[in-house]
Amino acid sequence: MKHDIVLAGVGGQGILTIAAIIGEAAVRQGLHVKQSEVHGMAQRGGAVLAHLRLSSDPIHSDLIAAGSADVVLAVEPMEALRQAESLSPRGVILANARPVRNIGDYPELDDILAALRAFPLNVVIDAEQVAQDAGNARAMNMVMLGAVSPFLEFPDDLLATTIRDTFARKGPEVIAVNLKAFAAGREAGLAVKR
Amino acid sequence: MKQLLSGNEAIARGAWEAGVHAAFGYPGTPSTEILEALVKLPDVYCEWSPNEKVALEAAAGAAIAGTRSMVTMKHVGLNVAADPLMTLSYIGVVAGMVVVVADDPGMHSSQTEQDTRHYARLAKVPILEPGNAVDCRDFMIRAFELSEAYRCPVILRSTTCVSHSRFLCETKDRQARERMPFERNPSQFVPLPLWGRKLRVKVEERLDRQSTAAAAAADLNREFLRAPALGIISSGVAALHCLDIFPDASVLKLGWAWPFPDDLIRAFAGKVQRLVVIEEGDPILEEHIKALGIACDGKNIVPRTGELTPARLMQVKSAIDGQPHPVPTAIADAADLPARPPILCAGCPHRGLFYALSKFDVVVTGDIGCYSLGVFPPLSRTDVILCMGGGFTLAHGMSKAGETRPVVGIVGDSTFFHSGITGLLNMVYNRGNATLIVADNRTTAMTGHQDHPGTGKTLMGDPTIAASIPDIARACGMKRIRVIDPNDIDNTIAVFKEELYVDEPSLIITQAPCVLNDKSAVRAPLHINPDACKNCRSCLKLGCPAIESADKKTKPAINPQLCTGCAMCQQVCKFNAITKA
Repeated sequence: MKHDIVLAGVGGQGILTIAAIIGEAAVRQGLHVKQSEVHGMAQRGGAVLAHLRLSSDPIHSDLIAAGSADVVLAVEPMEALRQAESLSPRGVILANARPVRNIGDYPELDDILAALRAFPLNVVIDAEQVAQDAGNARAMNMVMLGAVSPFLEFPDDLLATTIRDTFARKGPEVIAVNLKAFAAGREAGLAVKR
Repeated sequence: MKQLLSGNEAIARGAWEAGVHAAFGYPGTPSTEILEALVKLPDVYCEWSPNEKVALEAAAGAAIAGTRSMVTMKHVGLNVAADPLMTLSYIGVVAGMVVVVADDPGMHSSQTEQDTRHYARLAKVPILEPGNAVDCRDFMIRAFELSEAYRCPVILRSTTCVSHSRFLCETKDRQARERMPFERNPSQFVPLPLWGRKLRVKVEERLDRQSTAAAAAADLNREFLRAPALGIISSGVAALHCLDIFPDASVLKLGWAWPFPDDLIRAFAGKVQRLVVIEEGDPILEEHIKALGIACDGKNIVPRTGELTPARLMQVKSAIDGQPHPVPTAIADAADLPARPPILCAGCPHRGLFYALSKFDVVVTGDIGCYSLGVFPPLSRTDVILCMGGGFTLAHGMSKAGETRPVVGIVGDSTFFHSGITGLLNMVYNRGNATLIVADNRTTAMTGHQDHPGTGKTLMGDPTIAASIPDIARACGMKRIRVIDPNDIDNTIAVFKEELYVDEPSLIITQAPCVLNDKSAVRAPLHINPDACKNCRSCLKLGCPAIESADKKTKPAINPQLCTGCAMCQQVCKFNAITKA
């Protein structure tokens, strides 16, 4: 079993939390885990990227070569497209459809979404809206984690348990919102997986 | 037990297990999290020093006093700390001391791409190069052992990729260590020329012994013998990529490559038919191997700059095979996507400073920190950046050169303490004439909010004396000192009008907390009333990421998720269209 996952977004959107939860779940599964993070220069607002490699067999490198990722998971649509060249022909691309327009020359959003939806396996959803419906727009990253969950070969409850443990210090309300967002995202992912 | 650790956390863990007693450093990406991880472990003294030179000297003192010590910095920090390192190599240490330096190939967050291995050769001290977090923990423990065995500091060189990647690491308990006694011995510890010349000879003898030891250190220098047709000599994370990308090649992964393990290199070269040196950074190994009379490929096919990512190593593989490189199917739409550079955050007080400066025809010399981002449009108010502290000294030199426009030199609060004070002192002493600004946001923001001598708190979390920037400037002889809130744009412009054109040095401290660090500075988000808005687009000249406008016909709107209520846009709006949401 091998999952090479490219995570992308804009600083402050929470991709490193997604990476940490998948990584922790993989450790609990006894998998080999390699996770690489490249932060943008500033803390916020720049493009950020993380590579996550999970494998049942030993691996050496922590980076994923172009055209070989099983999953590209982006919490921002343009950043999804930017990383699309990492995707293997059989891979799945998942993107939050809500743009972060903190640059002057942001391209036409419809063109970006159309390009993403042209991939054979794609999940493009307004994760911020889904998260808001679940109780907090900031749980958007948990919606995207839910969306990718059907494509990872984890036991049913493992990611939910890991979310619970990750947010344990923040109290039951935060856990509940994040789990609800995760479950809503999972439905969207399952719809495509089927 | 096993833990998923980043390279930086593993360096801290290894140091802790090795019984490190005192750790010093100055924040700098990608090295910052090492001390932040170490300070969470028990029984270690940790501090942020004002700069890397101070930190390295303090660590040297601790090691000479007989406790294991370490110092952390990024590659450019070692430029600042190079002076004591050179001499420390001569006088040596009593207990082990490790200098942890994190390089930044690819320049993710740095002004230069430096290869710290040059410093190891210059200082004539060993350098270890971990390739992942597992190595980081193991090599850190070995670095302390080597330092004690040879009584000299040892450099551990990480890179951005190594520092920030997470691996499962086997961890153990901390070694109990007693302080070793410091015994007076001036001929060892005082490098006056009469003793220094003898120490100089001993350093060369030490290098010979280290070269022999490195060739035999199979735990640090690992041979992966596979097919003999192709042999690769590599180090760090590049060596690990090579193991995956060249599954048939034999690989010599050098973790202790300097002093060069000549015997090991010769033996490995003899086992393979073709030798390629794949090193991230400069061709240091390659040139040495060629000097040994061994034929090899290297930078003729391996990129000289940037990170050696798997994608780029695939191209090297094609070059080795003599095949054209299969270009991955380009995503046509992705090729033209605009870059997303870092920008000043919504609510950043530096925005008021740069917006006010944009109203004047001035030359601005900047510094290293978040305020470097004042260079980007629409603010566009930084003209030259050199190094930490350089904001002040460049301004002094430009004004002495007769620059006719007013010259403004900017440093941050942390860089004021790092190396800004001497520049200010120099300008006052030598009768310079520039306007100096300290962009004081009460923290070291760019690297993730570390304390510094002005914050009143130490890395250990203890309250302490907060150094006063105005008092220091006064003590240096600065007469004109203003402390203002850059969130108040009209006042900031008014103060600049008064200070930019005076015929003597002046210092303006723009003081307001970083809103990411001090949540008490965050207020309710504002809202643009579309009926009152005339789409004059004045607010967009602030370059605030919370103000969005899809195109010129669309009136700007404020994203309430991002807005921190700093109200700068409210102040620049001529139509009172911006109010509380």
